[in-house]
Amino acid sequence: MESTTLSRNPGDPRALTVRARDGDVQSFEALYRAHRGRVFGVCLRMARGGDEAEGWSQDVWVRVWERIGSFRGESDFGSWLHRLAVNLILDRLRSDARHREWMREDEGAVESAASARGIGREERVDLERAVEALPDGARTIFLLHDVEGYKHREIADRLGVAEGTVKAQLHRARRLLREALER
Amino acid sequence: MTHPSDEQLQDLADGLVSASERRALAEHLTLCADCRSALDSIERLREGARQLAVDVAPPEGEWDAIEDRIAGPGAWRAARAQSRVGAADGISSGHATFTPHFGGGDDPSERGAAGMPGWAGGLRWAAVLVLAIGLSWGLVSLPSWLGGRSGDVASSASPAPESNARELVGARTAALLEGAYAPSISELQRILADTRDQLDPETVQVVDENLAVIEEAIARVRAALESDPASAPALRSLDSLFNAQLRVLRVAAALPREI
Repeated sequence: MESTTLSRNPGDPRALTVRARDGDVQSFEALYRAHRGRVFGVCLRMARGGDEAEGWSQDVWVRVWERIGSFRGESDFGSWLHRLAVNLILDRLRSDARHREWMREDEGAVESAASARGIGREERVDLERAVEALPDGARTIFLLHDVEGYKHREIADRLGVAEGTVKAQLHRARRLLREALER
Repeated sequence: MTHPSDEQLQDLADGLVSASERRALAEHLTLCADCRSALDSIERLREGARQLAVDVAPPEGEWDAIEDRIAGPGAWRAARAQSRVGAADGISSGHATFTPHFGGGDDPSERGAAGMPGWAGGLRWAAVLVLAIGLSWGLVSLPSWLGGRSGDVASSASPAPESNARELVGARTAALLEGAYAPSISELQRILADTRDQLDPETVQVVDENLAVIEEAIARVRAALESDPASAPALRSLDSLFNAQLRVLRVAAALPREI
């Protein structure tokens, strides 16, 4: 019987999700502790600052709590969680006035990532810092595609832009990053 | 073939080119050191990007903020946190003191009537009635933890060590909640016993009915906790019910002063 199995394996991820679906906050907390680093990591990479990342991370977990009933255990919980986190982040980006026009603004940006953010030529630029220095649109798409592993079509659908725009932004992001890293 | 564009090289690295295009590019790359270098650079970047997908520990206190949002602030959580400390220290019985936040003054006899206009009594009774109705409804539609699941847990043949730790924390949390609310509830019950003669019989009956509903609910939650001491929903309910009992008693104890 499922309930007996669950009681014998309290740390089992599937058991935890089942208990969390029943409203067991302690089981939900166990899931949180097992996956919090992954969620906060993606939030921190996608956000423009720690405060924003902290807000998003909390929002992700609240949404997980609200939607955990829709997780049926057919896929890996971590993958489901990651997708939910990225979708929430993209929703935030789309609704955020600062990001709403980023695709258009980025079209006109031709300078290198480093010079766009004022990083000096003498400064040693590692990849993380170079990504941080990218213009918003290129950065978001680079992170989604090359870091988080999403396909062009998925990114285009979620962001509500053409697939060609995603591809162009990705090309541009990589070119800017290579320029910054080769300096 | 002329030099491929940077975009073409990126597409090659991403596996997005056709077979014929790939052949043409491969042929060019064998002859062109610059393009080979550019492709190497693209592939190093893609590899480096994959390594950026690292876990990062969130700031301290994130869980508390999340729990506040999903479960609401409650005394049971503070009690549970304290219970965990006790359990971690190997303390088997609760010597620590714990004070829930009642949202009123510290003196039970002061609570309820402070700053309320004379006409508030009627409104408050309406609130009490609504409270009782709400609790009755809650008892009719029992949540799952008050039904089958706790029995299932109790039927487990050999609980894991983690289960024992969970149960210890749960039992200590319940004990802390009971101990924390008991003095205020007892004091208000004493005040109500002393003053109930000043209330009309119909009002006394309504008070008693409301308290009976709450006490019945508390008894059922206690029974559920005997089966599953670690049940978070049960602990939350126990906290809420003690709070409800306190609110009814406060209102009732303050009524004679308003008459």
